[in-house]
This record gives sequence, structure tokens and C-alpha cells, in this order.
Amino acid sequence: MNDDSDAGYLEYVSGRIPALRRVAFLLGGDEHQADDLVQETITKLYAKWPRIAKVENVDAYVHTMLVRAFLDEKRRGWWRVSLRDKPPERPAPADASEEKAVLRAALDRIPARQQAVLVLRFLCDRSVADVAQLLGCSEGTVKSQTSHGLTALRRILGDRVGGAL
Amino acid sequence: MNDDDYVTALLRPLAGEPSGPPRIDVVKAMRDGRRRRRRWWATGSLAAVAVTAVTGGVLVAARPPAPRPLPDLPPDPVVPASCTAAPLPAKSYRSAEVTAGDSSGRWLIGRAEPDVGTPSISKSHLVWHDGKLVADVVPPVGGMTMTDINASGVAVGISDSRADHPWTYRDGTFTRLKGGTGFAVAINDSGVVAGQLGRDQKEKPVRWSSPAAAPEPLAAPDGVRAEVRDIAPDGTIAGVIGDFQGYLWLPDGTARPIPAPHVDGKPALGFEPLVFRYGWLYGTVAFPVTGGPGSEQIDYRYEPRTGTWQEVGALAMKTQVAGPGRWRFGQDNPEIYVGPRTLSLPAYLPAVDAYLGSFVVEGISDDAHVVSGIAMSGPADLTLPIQPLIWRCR
Repeated sequence: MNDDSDAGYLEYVSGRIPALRRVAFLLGGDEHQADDLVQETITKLYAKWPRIAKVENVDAYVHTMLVRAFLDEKRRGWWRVSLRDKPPERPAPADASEEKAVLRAALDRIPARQQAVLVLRFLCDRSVADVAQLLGCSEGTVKSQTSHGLTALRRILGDRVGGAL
Repeated sequence: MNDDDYVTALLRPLAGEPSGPPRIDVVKAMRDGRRRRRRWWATGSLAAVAVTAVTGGVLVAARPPAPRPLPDLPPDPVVPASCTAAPLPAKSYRSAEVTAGDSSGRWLIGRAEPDVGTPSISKSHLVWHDGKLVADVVPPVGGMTMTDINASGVAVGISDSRADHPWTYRDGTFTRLKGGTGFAVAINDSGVVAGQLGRDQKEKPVRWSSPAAAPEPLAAPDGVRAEVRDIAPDGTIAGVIGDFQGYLWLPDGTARPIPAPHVDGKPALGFEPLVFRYGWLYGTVAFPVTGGPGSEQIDYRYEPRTGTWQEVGALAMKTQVAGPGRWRFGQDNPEIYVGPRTLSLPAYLPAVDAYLGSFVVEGISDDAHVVSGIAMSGPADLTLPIQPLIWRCR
């Protein structure tokens, strides 16, 4: 493949970085790690660009790469290093930043795929079908992962919404 | 409250955007991604590009000490006052691109339908002389890309059909260069060709003294990848060793690393050459980023005879360089270096009307009177054609 694809790559990437960063940030909750995930994703994208540029829905492909990079990092354990890894102890945190920390820590304690499903569906507003495509699984699996993830979150946090929150 | 509403409300505090500036380095992604590529990689591999504006730039000595008179530097062309953009003829092809232009501005080469099909399809190659289409030739193999053309209309490049091979084109005929697998990168007006031979990312730098000659290896340090970027009119070949060690292979058979400049007392991390033009070697200098990982890349040019450095831009990839071993990138408002300054090129409005608002410069003549390039879709919409363009400047 010739390097005319570089122009297309650069144009593509420059327009997508904010959206990719946002999803990466919501997935992991850490800005630096989000940047690392995006960096890894666009590196892989460049390596494969001569072929990827010809697929029908490049955005879906790239977001799939991003989500998989996130899952890979979780699997390796690297992701946990800088996250607040302690389980939440107090039921009703006083301020917003502490509340976020508690929620994020709880999310981080549930299995990676369940975490990804919850974030993609409820923070990124992705449909069940979209999430199934991103994770490479069936819609039924997305629904069951949602249910398992929610159960796990409730177990960790208690039934917080509508109460102390 | 059903489960969906519950989770939405529960997670709402986590919604938001990253607040700090991104630390994402697209240049690094391309460099790292390039290593991960296998076959496509070859062609004049991406190098760089350039930067912004600037009216002057700052001269810095390669070595900090002793003040000395300004060396005798090659003269730069006058920056043209204005340019007009026009389409290049492409017969009835829906789409076509220029991939290289020569130093005189008279010869341009490219191909038809670059955006259609796969690289393995043999695509018609188009040659323009003085802005007129003079040849339309289907190469004997697929995946051909011409990366450079000289003032005699002799072009060089690569085919990546099955395996990469170096090719040359002249007067309607494509011929494989001697030496086996690899690729040609650049040809100067004397017909000396620079390229690499080998395979699987282990291609070694070589020089062909003419398109018909046997290749001669160019010595390079062992154990690191060496990439050829361009060849000067006098036969000097520039390349990069590893990530950021600029390197010169001189016509007398010797070779030497290019010492990175010191700026504000700080040594740069290295220099990545891009293209010889106006007697200078343009490229990017990498500086460490204070308090963070990664590097900041700024466009400089280097005059090999005197060892003089000149900063020509701010961050890399804001001004086009258009050399044989360069990165290509699109701009809504294209500009290219002329000496240490930048020349702004007008958009070709019919292209913009057709949603082709992203311009890439592929060549500029030594007098800066002829610039060639393409207009394409900014979001890389492959359903839109590519328009080959010529800018005439005075």
C-alpha cells in the first residue's frame, strides 16, 4: 500500500481523538490511562490502516479496538495500579469527588467485561446492539453482563440511588 | 425505577470529559505503527513534515561555542506573491492523484483511481509534463507507487504485489531495478537512485548509480533499522538510523551521523531527515518534553556542508514538505516551505464544492513556481474521488 493512506489516517485520527479519549476516560476513569489507551489504539490503527480504511464502518472498528485495548490492560492488571483500589467503606460520601472515587473503585472491582458493558451502555449511551458489536458478543450476552454487573455493583455499594445520593 | 434507570442514575456522577490536555502523540503512533506493519510500509515511508509559519526562523550552530560569521549558505528562492490552483487533466478517470513532482516543476507522476480497489490491482499511471497529460501506462505488476521523479522524467518507486520490489519508469516503460526485493525511495537529477534492498523490515540502504546499474550497499550501523529518506542533487543520501539519528551517506563513499542541534543549551534528542530542498535537508528535531514522557517535534533544516541548523517551524506537521520519503497529510489551508518561510496555497474551490476540502502537497519546484498535489475528502470518505491539482505561483 502506498503512503497516500497517511493523509487519510491523519485526517481521520485528528477528528476522532476527542471522542476516543472521552470513551477511554469513561471506561477507566483515569485521564493518563485514557491517553495511553488512545495512543495504543491509534498506533494499532496506523499499523492496519491500509486495510481498515477500506472497511465500511471505521468508527465502529476503532472503538472496538479501543474497548479491547481496555480489556487487555485490565487483564494484565496494569490498569489497577493507579486506580483507587480500596473498597468503599462509608455509605454516603460527602462530596462529589469522593463520590466519584467510590463509584469508580466499585466499578473497578467488577469483571472487566461487565464494567465495559455498564460504562458503554449507561455512560456512553450505546445501544445493546452497539455494545455487542464493540465487544464481539451477542446482544443476549450484553444483557446478561449488564445484569451481572449491576448485581455486583449493588453488592459492593448497596442500594444507593434515591437514598443517600 | 427499573434497572436501566437505576444504573444510569448510579453512574451519572462519573460522566464527564477529561479535563487536561491530551498527551496523545500522533507522530509517535505513526512511527510505532509503522514498525508493526509488514509489507505496506515500504514506500518512502513516512517522514514528516512540517510546520507552521514563520517568517524567518532562527539560525543555530551545530555546536554551541564560538561566535562565527554566518556561513556561506545556499540561496533560497523568493517566496511567490500569489498562486492559482487548477485541476490536472486525467482523461476520463473518475479519480487520480499526483504522487511525485520533480525539481523543475515540469514532470509530475501519479496514478488513476488510487482510491478504488486494492493495492494488488494494477492501476494506470499518469505522467504530466508542463501540466499536460503525456502518458497513461498500466504497470506490468500491481501495487505500484512512484515515489519520486527527476527533471528528465525518470521516476522510481515500489510495487508491493506479492513481495516489494524497486521499480523505475521512463518513457512509458516500467523496469525493475536490480538487486531483488526492496524498494526505491528517491532519484536525483543525475539519475542516482537511493533505496533499500532486503525484506521483512530488514531492508538495507543501497544506492544505484543509475537505474540500470547494480546496487551498491550503503554502510550503516549494525543492529538498528536504517531508512533512506532522500537523495540530494550531489548524490548525498539522507536517512535515519533507529528512531531519531539522522544519517548522511556522502558521494565520496563515507558516511556520518548528523549531530543533533543544541537549542537554548539543551541538546535535542535527535533529528529525523525528510527531504532535500534548496540545498538544505528538512526534517524534524525531537526535544524532550519537560516533566513528561515523549518528545516534542519541531521542523528544522540542516545545511550539510557547513553543519548549520535553522528552525523553520513550530510543531511538526503543520506545513507540508512534500518529499519522496515524507508523511502526507491533508490541510484545509495548505502551505509549504519555501526556504525558511511558508507559502500559502489557495484552495481549489470546485474541489471544495465537491467536498474535497483537504489538500496534500506532493511536489514543489526549486524556484517555487510550480506546486503539485491533490484535493481529497477530509474525513477520508472513499466514495469521493481524488482530484490532482497544480498550483502556478509568481
